[in-house]
Amino acid sequence: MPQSDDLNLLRGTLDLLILKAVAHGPRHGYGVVRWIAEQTEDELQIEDGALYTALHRLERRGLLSSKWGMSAAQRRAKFYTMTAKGRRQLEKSESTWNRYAAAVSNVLTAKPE
Amino acid sequence: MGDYNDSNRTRRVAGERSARVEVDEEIRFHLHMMTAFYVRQGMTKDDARRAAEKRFGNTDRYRKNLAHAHHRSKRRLAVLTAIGHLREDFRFAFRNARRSWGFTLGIALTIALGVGANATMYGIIDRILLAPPPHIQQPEQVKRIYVQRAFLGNTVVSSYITHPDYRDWTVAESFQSVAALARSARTLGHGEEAQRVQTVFATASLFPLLGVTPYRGRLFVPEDDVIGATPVAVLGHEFWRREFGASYDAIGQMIDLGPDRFIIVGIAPRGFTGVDLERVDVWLPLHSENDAERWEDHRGYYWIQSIARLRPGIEPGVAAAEATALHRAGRAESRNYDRDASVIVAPIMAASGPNASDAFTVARWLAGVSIIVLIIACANVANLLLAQGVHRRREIAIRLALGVSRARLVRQLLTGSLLFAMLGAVGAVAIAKLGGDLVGSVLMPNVDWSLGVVSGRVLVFTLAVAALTGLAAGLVPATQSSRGDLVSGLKDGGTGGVVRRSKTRVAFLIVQAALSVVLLVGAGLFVRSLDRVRSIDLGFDPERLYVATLQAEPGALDRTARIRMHENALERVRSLPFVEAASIVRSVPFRSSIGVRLRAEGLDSIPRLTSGGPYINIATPGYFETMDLRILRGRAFSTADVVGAPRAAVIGETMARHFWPRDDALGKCLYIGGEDPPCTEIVGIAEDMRRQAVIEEAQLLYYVPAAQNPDEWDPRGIFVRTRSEGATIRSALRSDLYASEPSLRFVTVNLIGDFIAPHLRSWRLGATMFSAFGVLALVVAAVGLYSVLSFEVAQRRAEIGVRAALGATGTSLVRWVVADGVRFVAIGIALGGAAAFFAGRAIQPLLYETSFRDPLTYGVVAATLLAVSVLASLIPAMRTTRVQPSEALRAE
Repeated sequence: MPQSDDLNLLRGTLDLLILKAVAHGPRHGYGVVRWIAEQTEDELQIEDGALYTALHRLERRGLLSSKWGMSAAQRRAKFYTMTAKGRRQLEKSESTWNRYAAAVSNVLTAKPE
Repeated sequence: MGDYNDSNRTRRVAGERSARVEVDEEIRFHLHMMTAFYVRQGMTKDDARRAAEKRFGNTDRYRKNLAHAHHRSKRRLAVLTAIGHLREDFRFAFRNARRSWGFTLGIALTIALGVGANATMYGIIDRILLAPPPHIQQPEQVKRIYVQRAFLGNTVVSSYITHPDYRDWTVAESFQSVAALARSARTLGHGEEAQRVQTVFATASLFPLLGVTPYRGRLFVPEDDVIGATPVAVLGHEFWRREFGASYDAIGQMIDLGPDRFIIVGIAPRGFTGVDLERVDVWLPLHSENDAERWEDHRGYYWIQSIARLRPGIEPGVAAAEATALHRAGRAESRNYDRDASVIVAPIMAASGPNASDAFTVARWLAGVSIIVLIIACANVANLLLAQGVHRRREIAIRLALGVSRARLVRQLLTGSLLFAMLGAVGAVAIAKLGGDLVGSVLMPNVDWSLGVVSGRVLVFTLAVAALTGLAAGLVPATQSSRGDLVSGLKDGGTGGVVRRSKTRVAFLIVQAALSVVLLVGAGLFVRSLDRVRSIDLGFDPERLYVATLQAEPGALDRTARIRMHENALERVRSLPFVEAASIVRSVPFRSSIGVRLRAEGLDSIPRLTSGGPYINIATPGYFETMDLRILRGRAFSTADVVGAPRAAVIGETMARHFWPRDDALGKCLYIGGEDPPCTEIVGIAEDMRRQAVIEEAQLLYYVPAAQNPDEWDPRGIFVRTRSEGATIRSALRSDLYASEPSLRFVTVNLIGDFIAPHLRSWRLGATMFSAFGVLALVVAAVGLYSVLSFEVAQRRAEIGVRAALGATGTSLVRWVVADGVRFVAIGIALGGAAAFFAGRAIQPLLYETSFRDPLTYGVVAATLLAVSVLASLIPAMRTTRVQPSEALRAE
């Protein structure tokens, strides 16, 4: 089990990843799982169930909305779409992340005095 | 993505199961896809499946948690949506109400009147019947004790007992504690400033039994309630405010009541009246009563009443049985009629026990009447809402077309009527407050209303009834309106070219008319009863007839001195310019009567009547003149009838008729009183008079002059007939009487009418309330008729235009409309008359010499209603004449 700080960091990051997953259009839960797995080359080591928990949580917070529809293979599936609120959150998180990454990067590439 | 709810409308069924089903399906899809992925990677189906499940994690746990969270969030969303809908509905209703505020006001007012009338009566009924007196702990355990005895062949139930009887019950196992009390009146203060105060003598056990705590100071302790103890008093709250200005210094002060002075030790809480409803000014210990030594052990003084608190778990029947056994054992040595007495343990509210008075019955009737008024108000409001519904057809049609569900629409309309109802509720509370105070003080003026009629329960009642009224009245209009025909609603600008006379509206109208008839018939019957009762010949003439009682300091005057005081007073009073005649009497009619042993010439036994008696009165000459009691034959007393002259008596004509049916009573002898009395000759026969009630059976009455009966003579009152009436006369009489005798403690002067009025109270109240409600109902129904007809006229403009164009004259049009209105009302009159006929039977016992079938009443009511309906129809009818045919046709 990851440490609790790591868990929070993980949760926050996970939310960001999920939002990004649906940023370009609706996806069902499996699609989100697959996309993240591909993008992170399966490095995340997180249970699929946890991803679904995150999906539902984001929906409850109003960052995602869901709708039952038909998958490509004509099976019933639950599709998630980003809401306007979700889009705003994504932008904010992206900018925060970028600033953080830039700051860390600056530190790490700082030349010794 | 649209409205979550709309797209998932089929999923709106709440419940953990549907959430679980959803979650299961989502997980199932995932696992299927993941398995297929692994299969494509080259795994076997089983391995792939296992890998997918492994990746997923603890499937069952996730499934459960997800379903639970999902369900909770769905529920929250549903609640938020519902609240949102409700807010919207209210805003919509509010906007609508504000737009036509006159209409809103009308409906709110109608509801206020209907609900207010009911709230008033509920408040009264609650106070006297339902809610126990305030400040009593666990009142359902407190009981009143009655004793049922046989008396002269009848069974009599009475709450009056003797002190030893009370003591018998203090050892009862079934009773946790027992207490006794007696109401009395004492004089506070002296001279012209003196006033009568209502006192209650109570055992020290009363306050602990009831569980009441003092507002200030202390209540009685057992040491206060023994003969010879320092006299103490507890003040009633209102009395304390009035007389002591709500000052805490009152405690420790002395209060002068009657022959004794009491130290004030405490103040009762506000509204505390013991177990009765009448106000109590001062509480005194039972044994501080003057004659305590006489009644303490005497089984003949029936002057106290008893209450008891049941031990927890004991049934009233068991307690009654034990109390009966104790009662009989205690009285084993006493007179016959008590030996088989039985004890009744009754609820604390006197109104629901035996011997409940008339006032309670009337109150119950009034409650029924107010319900009728509410129904009328409901019908009226429903009609108005229906009319409004037709006005708004277009708006409703548009909303329906835009996709608002019918259920939602009905909810919105109901919210609207609920809003009206709440506005009406505010008015209703105001009416309940005013009306309650009024009815309370008129119907039961002795009851302590200091806590007001509007209690918390009344407020809850008002809100509930108002809400129900709003919903009931609004239901039919809402369902009808929402059923609107979309196409025609959108097409014809809201007024409707197709005339469809609303059967519902007509039905409501007829109901209103019928109920109004019922109320008005009730009013008419009561008014006639009241009229008949008022015109009952009392025998004597009550106009301008005053009764004065003189009360000296107790013990200050012996009987002779008292007689002399009264004679002096009589002299003075007779010389007053505004006094016609005056006389002193032994018993004051309507207050008290006495009977003594009597034998009559030629009779072995005295004829008896159900009214008891024969009753004797001793009076000074001038009695018959003062009372304006005619002497039919013979003569009245004169100043010649003194000791030494032949003994004389005057008897009433009923007595003459019963004693000597075939002979002339004049000249016969009466033998009045104890050991071998001499002959008292009957010198005159007087017309009968009422002895103590306005309506009573025949009475046996006879009179003897005071001068000839010095031993029995005990003046109790002075009758004075004045030339005119009024407050100045009354105070002049009072001042003069005070001046006549310095040792006078207290003087009361009342019109005899004041003693008679209480007897008329129930009829007067019935007549007033029924009339008030009846007129109210009539007004409401008339307004209803007017609005329905105006509406019809507005609706049928085209038809009117056509008729006018075809040559119908103004008068024929008017006649057409009026005939319509009258037709509805006539049906209502017929129905209402029939209903009144059936219901009238139940009301007959409350009437006096008026049959519930009284044709005059029905006739007048019918005529009134018809006249009113013609008037109400006239105004809309006049409007038809102003319709220009061309204009009407063009509007289509």
